[in-house]
Amino acid sequence: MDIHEYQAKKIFRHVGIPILKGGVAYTGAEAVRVANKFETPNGWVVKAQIYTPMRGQGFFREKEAGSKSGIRYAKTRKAVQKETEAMLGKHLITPLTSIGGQEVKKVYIEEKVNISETYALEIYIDFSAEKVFVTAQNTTPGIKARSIKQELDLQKNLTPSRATKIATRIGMKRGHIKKTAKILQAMYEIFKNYAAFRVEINPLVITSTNSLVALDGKIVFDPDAVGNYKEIAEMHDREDESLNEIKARLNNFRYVKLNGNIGCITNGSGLSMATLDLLHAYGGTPSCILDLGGEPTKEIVSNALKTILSEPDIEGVLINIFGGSARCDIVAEGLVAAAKEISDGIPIVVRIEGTNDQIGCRILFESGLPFIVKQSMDDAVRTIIQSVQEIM
Amino acid sequence: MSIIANQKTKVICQGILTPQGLHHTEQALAYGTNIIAGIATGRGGEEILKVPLFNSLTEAVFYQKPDVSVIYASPSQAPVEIKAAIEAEIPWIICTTERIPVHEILKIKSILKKSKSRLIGPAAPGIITAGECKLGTMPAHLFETGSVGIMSRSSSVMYEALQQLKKKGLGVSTCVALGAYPILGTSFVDIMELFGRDKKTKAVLLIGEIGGMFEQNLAAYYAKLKRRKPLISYVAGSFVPEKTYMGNIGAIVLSEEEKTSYKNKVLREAGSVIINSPNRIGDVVFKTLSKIG
Repeated sequence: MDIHEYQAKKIFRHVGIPILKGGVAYTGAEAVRVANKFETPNGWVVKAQIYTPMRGQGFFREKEAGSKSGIRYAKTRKAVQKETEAMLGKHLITPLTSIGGQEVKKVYIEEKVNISETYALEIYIDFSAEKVFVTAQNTTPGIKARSIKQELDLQKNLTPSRATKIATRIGMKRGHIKKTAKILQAMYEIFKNYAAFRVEINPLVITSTNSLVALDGKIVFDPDAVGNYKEIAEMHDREDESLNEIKARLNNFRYVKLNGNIGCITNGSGLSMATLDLLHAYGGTPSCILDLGGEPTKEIVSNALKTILSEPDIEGVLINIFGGSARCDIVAEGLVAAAKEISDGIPIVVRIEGTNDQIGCRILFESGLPFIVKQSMDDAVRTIIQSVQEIM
Repeated sequence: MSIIANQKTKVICQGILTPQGLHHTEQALAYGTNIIAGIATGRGGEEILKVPLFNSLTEAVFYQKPDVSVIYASPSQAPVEIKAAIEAEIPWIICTTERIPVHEILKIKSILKKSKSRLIGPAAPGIITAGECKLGTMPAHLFETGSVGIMSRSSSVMYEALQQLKKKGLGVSTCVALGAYPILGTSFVDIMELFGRDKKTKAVLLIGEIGGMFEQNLAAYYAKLKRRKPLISYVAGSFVPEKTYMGNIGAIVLSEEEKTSYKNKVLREAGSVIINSPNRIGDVVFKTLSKIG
């Protein structure tokens, strides 16, 4: 689970990591109010708040946003307002966003500083190695990069002497070594206390006035752990959630939006992926995939089909269920309930196999509704692709 | 023969009185699984489904000497149960619990390394040895006896594979669903090693998916084997958009190496038969088995 830069900085401040003065804004006027709160000799920086990194290397999809990136300098309060308004509501495309980019819904206004040295600190889980690492690096341009990578033991703390050694080894400027060691310890405290995947400060800078600050920061949390920390769980905003994503969350099914014309309902993440594989193999294009999970109830199935049918670009529905723990008769009942309410001629191909499949098929037949029932995944996928092509 | 468990394997259940624990214990007993104890604090001496209950794990282990423990517990309780089972030196621990925080599993992995136990999971659907034994949450009626060993990260594609094998008249020896999770107690390499020694298993079907290095590690291991059984692989998720979560935090492509195409490439180079499309699992396994006679 991601949080925004301004939220990460709030956590940083709480554990004593130095950050600059700043504040979040949702409108141009608000941005000016934030800028008015603190004096700054060098002006301000207006930073787009999206979850994807590399905002400084990004560009906007819309022309009105101008040609600058997602991180912009503003010398005057008027410029703060102008840059804020230019970015809000526009889509920022970075090397790490999807092609369409991510909509900017808020910006962070921060005091501008002149940078003399830059460093990068990171504590993260390496999933392949199944270990926790700390990395530190001197990233100041022109300096031969000195970096260090060490394994950390989750059962232990990062001692002051070890943290000091790391800071010394990367060539941290004298007078800032102890402070850097404290920052590393504080990062590990956040990492451990919130069972995070990653805590990163990049860059950590020494300013021209010789102060050490975290200029940008990122914290990624474990979605399975944040439930234990209410204050963190609430940070992840759902402003980007579409109506169908909200429906999916409320109904406890998983929903992934794609860009074709066939809506898919499956059960299990593996079968969802396999269904996508087969659709593509036969030349079909999925519009979205909805995973019912282990043991769906009749209501969940019914809500799932209604959700899929509400997609504007849908031209056919493929239901590929293998009844392991899921019962095919319950799936069939749910499908019938939803299809009775909505019938707009969109072909619905159903493959239900496994536990209670015969009862399930009978329920579908006896409903009198125009379900196209197929006996295998292969048959079902070919049929839905054909049906969609016939309509077109 | 089979791997990890057969009809004689002594099984205990941690969390036997949870709804899931009770349901699957009942199903497992009906399948013939040798369940010899359940842990239920304060109910020691009683029986449930004719399975004797013990107040503590230590007590159950002392009297019953289990080979396997199956854990049904909440995400917060499961790490405690796993650690207790490791401390009691139970050889195989199967944890069915989903959504355990990764930090907890990292801590458990470091304890496991110094222990006598092996963990399947977390988030493991479990193990079924056809006709003999059911450990975990998979529906046993789908499993016909035969000579194919299956190891999978996903249970749903395993069911699909079983159905396709059944239509070809093929059955399975032991099927292991390792768990939908980014860090696993037991890897494909460990299971392949066991299948290699199992007389009943003639060929191994690997069902992998995008994300992680599990399939790549298996390829490296398999490539070095001198005498080996045929390996047939299907890796799901060729068409999942990058950085998209498909239901579990392990199945996500964050680097080129975690893609299906890369996994298929290294598996093929190691000598595995590759299935590109999930409707072909039955056919390809059938053909491979016919070749070895």
